[in-house]
Amino acid sequence: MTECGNPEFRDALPDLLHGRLDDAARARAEAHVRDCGACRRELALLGSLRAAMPQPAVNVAAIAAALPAPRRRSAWTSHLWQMAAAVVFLVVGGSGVVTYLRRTPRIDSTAMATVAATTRVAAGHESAAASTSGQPADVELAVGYGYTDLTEAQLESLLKDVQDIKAVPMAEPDQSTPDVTIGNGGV
Amino acid sequence: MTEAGGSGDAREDLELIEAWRAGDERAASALVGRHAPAVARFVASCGERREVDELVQDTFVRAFGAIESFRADSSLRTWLFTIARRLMLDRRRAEMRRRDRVEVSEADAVTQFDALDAVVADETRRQLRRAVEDLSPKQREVFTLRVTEGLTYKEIADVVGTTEGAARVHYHNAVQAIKEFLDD
Ligand SMILES: [Zn+2]
Repeated sequence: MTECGNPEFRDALPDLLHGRLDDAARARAEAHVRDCGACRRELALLGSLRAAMPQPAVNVAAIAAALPAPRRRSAWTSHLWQMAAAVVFLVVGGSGVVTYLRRTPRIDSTAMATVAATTRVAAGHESAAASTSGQPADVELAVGYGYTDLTEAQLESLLKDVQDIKAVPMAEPDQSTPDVTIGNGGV
Repeated sequence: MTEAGGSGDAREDLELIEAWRAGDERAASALVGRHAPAVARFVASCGERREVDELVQDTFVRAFGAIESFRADSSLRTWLFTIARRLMLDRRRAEMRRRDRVEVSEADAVTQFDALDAVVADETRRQLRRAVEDLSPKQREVFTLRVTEGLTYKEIADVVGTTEGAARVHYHNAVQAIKEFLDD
């Protein structure tokens, strides 16, 4: 039996068998097979082997009935709702932190620094909102203090400044808070 | 040289998957109808004879239960072959353990197409099947995917977890072995 001298065509015989060659490649392969006895015989053999393979019956209805219910799209939708709830909370949460501080009798300077830094970031990103209420100056004032050296009166004053900043949305979700907020978001 | 492998079919598969996820049960039937015969053929051609329908069903149940992990860069059918193959291997391992325990030395019914066939239509077909049965398990699955299912070497490599080059070598060795078997 003479061997095929063109491995590329021989390699493509199953693709020819299954009609997986584009028109140009199929024409070339067919022309080769016409002239190559080895490929002609091999193609015939592959066709016979393909036809000889078992084809068990399948019960499409039974299989379809056994499939799990789709994990409803609502899983994704509710995820979106959770994200929306988190965003809402973060917007409201900006004032929530302030409210919390206002009700805290003893002011922790670390917490104070956090609020000041946060409001500064927020003001920086919310220039449109800030410019209408003229808050950037207040915020810069707050950030300029040495927090640990503040007197009670200065703290009161600073707090009042902070209180006046209403619900400034945080520029970016604070990675330390969302877990709580999403859980309580309850939309 | 090879066509995209029915990109239209692939697109239809994706649309049907989306429809099924949106609650359309007919889409599931359509997907099963499109691919179950090929999965059954692959499984049987690899030598599974018992409860082929069960294995095919398990394949679809697994696939649909984890449909979000299906990557659209491979075809759905290739992915189903991959799952079916894994289930076959699991089943064979379990079978081996069972045999080890009871020490049954029966002929390997799992790997013979005709062991449970009451009638085989003709001698030629019997011989052709025997030639495929005679291949090593790896040659057999690669040959089946290439010749019976028309997969590319790339797709075969994805299913059996090897390289395109290795798949090509297994295929040509399989063809050579089949020719030698039939010439004897
Ligand atoms: Zn040739």
